[in-house]
Amino acid sequence: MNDEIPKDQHPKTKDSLPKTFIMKNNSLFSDDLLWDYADGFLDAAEHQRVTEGLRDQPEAQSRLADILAEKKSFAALPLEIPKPDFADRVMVAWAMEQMHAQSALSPEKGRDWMVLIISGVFGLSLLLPLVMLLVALSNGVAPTLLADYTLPNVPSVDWAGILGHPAVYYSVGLALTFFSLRLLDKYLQQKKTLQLA
Amino acid sequence: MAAILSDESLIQQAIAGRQSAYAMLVKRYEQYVFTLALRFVKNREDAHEVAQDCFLRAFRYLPDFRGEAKFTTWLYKIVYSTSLNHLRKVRPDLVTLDDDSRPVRLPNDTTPNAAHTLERDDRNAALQQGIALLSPDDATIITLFYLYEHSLDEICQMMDLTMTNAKTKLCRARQRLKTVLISMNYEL
Repeated sequence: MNDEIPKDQHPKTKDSLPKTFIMKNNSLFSDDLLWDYADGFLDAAEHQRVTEGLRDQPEAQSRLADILAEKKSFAALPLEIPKPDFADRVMVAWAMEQMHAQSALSPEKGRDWMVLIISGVFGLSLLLPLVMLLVALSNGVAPTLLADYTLPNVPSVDWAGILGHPAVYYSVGLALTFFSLRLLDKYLQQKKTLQLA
Repeated sequence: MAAILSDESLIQQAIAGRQSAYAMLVKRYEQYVFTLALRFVKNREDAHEVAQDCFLRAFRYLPDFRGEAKFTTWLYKIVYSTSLNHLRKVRPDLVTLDDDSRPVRLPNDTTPNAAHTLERDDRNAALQQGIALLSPDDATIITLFYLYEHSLDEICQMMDLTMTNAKTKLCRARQRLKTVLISMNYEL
């Protein structure tokens, strides 16, 4: 494993060189084994074997103590702390993202309805003459007579009467109130977002 | 005293749209995410940006978290991919964060403010500087195992490694850290 470190990067001091200790049963007590022992990577049988072997190896015991100290210093490393307002910034970014997602969705939804209504009216205007023709045919009117078919007179509309009706005043007032409130709501939402940011 | 809510409970509340649950998740994991992001990108400003992106991505995909693994395991994967994306913007040729060809940046050849003057008792500062000079993968595996005390099993899940590979990687990372510390005239 030590071969993985280029030679020129190898530690030069005596202490840092990998050590191997010979156990009574002639198995090796390497640094790697001691680290695995300290890190809890050995299975129960191996762990027991090393524990027993360590009893007669004061040098290995001292090396194990060094390893445990090293391990302790890794664990005692302080956590990296982000800026104090980090969490607030994340929450503002999240709120803005959600708001954008919503505002991106709603006009599209509105547009969808508009498209449907317009398409519907257009479709009806195309279908209606066809339906009228079919109805005329089913009533026994010969197609050749269609040319003589006279359209009914368009009824005259009393615009002054309609516009002067109280219901129209009321509806226009209601619509104006609705759009004013909607505008105010948009303004307040925008203001709140800017304040949060 | 208020009971500490479990991750699962906070996640459920967040999915249900409760903003305070999101805020609590950020508070709970900001150091975890920031530390890992810093291990990858090696720069505090960039780490803030990456950590924020990680939380936003995590929130976006929170409904996909099934709780099969620990929340931190899931979060680590987000930190990893976000950091990799960030680093690719800077280095488009970057493929992996495990730079085996050049695993450590020894302070005497690349770092102008090498910590030659570190005091013996400044153990944490030395260790942090040493870790900062390791490759992202080495720095991360040491952080996950020794600092956050993730088990080797969890690390295998997080980093998509086999048990043997994870052990080998950890061992190499430790050796490289030691090499770096020695080159900084510091020994644990």
